[in-house]
Amino acid sequence: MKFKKINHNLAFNIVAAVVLLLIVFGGVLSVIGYFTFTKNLTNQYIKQSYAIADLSSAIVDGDKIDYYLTVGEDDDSYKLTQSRLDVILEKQACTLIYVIKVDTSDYQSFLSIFNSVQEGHGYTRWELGVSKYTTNDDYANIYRRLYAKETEREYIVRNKNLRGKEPHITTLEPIFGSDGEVKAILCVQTPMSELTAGGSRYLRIVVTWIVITLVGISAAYFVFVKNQFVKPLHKVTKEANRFALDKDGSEKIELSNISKINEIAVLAKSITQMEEDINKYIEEVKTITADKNRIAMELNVANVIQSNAVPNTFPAFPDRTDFDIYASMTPAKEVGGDFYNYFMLDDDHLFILIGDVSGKGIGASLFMMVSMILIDDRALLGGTPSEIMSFVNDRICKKNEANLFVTVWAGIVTLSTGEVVACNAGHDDPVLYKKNGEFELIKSKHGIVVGAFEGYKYKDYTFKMDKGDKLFVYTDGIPEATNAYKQMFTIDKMVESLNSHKDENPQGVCEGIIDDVNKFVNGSEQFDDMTMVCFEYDDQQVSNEKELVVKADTSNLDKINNFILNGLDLNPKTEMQITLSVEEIFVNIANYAYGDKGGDVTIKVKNEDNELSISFMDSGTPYNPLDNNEPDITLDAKDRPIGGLGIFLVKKNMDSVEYEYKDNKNILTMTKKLQ
Amino acid sequence: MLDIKVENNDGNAVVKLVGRLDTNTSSQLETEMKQLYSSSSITFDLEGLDYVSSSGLRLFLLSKKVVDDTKIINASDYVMSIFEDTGFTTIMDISKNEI
Repeated sequence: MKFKKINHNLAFNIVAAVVLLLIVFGGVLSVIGYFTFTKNLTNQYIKQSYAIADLSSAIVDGDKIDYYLTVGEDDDSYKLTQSRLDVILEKQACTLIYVIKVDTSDYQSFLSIFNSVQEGHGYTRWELGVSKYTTNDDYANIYRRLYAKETEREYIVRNKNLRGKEPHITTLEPIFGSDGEVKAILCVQTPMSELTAGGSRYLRIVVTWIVITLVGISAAYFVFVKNQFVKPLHKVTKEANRFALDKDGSEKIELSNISKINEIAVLAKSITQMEEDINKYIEEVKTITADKNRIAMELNVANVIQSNAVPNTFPAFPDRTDFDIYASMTPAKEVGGDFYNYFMLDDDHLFILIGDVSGKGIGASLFMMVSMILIDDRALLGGTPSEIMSFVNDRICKKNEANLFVTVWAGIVTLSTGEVVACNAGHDDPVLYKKNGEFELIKSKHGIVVGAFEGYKYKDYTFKMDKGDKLFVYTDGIPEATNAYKQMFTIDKMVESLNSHKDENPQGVCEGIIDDVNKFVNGSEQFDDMTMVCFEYDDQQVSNEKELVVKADTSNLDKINNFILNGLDLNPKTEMQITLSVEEIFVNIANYAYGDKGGDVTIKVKNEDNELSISFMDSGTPYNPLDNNEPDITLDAKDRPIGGLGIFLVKKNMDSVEYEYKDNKNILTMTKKLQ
Repeated sequence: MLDIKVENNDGNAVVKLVGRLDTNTSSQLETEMKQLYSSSSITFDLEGLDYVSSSGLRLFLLSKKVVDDTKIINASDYVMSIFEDTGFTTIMDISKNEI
């Protein structure tokens, strides 16, 4: 298994490194030792050899050298000296002792005077007077130096190129005559037998002991490393791995007391501690996540409650044709502090309300619900906006521990006259559009925000709306919408934007503002709740007419069908005929009117004398769908073009279909009598 | 909403449609049909289909052009009237619900 291999490698690596070190160390020691040993031994031999030479030269009479050469070996003093030399040779275990007289002209030859030879070394005795050649230049140079008295004694160590002979040392000394001149050279050659024997014996002992020590230390070391390092590390690794990969499915490996080495013990302890900590954190995170999920769910519920607390079905008053109203609210977080409301106080009076609680989030949203309901309920009891505001302000101030406040604008519209009575409690000024004119701010004196001062008395102000005029109220989240460059949308831009949509119905105006703000912030995070209400004092006399503006996108098909069929009770077949016709016309516009740019389509629906009339208006490419020739429905399958059936179906299913191009708009109108 | 079930019996495909075949759901069907163009025959079973618009008609025509043996069965009264109005009944085999 993988782990055993690592185990083996780890121990092996650690130990092998040390063993290698020991070998190198041992090797170096041996080599140094060996050379020191041989050097010392050699020096000892040299000394010894010199001593023998000294001894020998003492018994040789230098003055008699030439005499011996003339007289020959029979001379008594010659024989005595020779036998003494033999004794020295034997007792000192030399190989050779000889005295020679060198030819001083070139030192290349010499005459043998005395010669002692040890048996069995392959040397033969030279007789007195025998002439021999100098063996090599080394010797010649030595003879010369000795004769010239440049040196007092010399030696040559021979331990290479022995050719079968054992290593030996030769010492050479001059024999002096009484006149102080060199008469002959004495040479002593002794074997360095201890050198060879001793050398190899030394090596054997050293190497054996090194190996024994090596093996012993290695084994002990191996065991130590294994038990204190490798096994514990292996255990720790295994446990860490187990924990990382499969902690719940396997059993924990115990890591206490696994090593005497501090660092490893600490490591093991840390791993164990970390595991505990991680397990603990996992539990904590689980709890926190569960909480977070729960809170998110609760916020979702709160969001639903809040968005349904304000009126959000449109058209708001489908049966009223004398005005139109649309509103939109987008909280910055799941729940927000803005609100709006509108409802009929009676048949001739519409109450409109918009408010903004300080702050955002849960606290603001609770305050928002309370404020809104208080205002609503009080409004239903009658009175002017200022009376309502004053009452509600007192109620809220009494229970305002959190010291929140809310800005409010409330207005009551008398629908028969267009008169508006309004009260502003610290809120942004509304914007009024006069027909054929422009949107402009209506400024008034602002009362204090609601919830600040108990007992404050608010004041009303009035203005008049004529048919076709529009009123736009909003919260400051709109002018204060911020883009990535920290620039704000501003009131000026908002009014500009309103004016660019001034001809549209309230829904168009609101959606136009939303679009423009979205384009402006371009993806930046929404900082404040954005809320708006747009009210149009309509001049449509015709009953049962309604209008819808949507983007020319096929995803809006259902919305359009719902809008058209809302409130109508039709048999399924008629309903499908209308739906089919609407689909064919709208899909055509969605696919072709605006190309890639996209644009809006206005759908006007009129229901008079039980005849439904539906108009589609777009400002895209001028195109009359009725121009196309009717598809030839008698053609074979393979001859039929794909397309062109849409209009055909519309004509078939509706009573009439008409087209006109007016004011740069394509207008297609179809009618159907309802059963 | 459109529910599409395809059964492929050895090259003879049966496509059951339930719901509405309009401009938004027709792309769903078009994707499914792409895989059937190598079939030897395609049968559309419209038993649960309430509604069809020209986007749907286009797909039936396309199917007929690619796989000649295309037929439609179990069309409801309303859907049948659309096929009759547009002359589709003259170019392919369409039958109504057997009541």
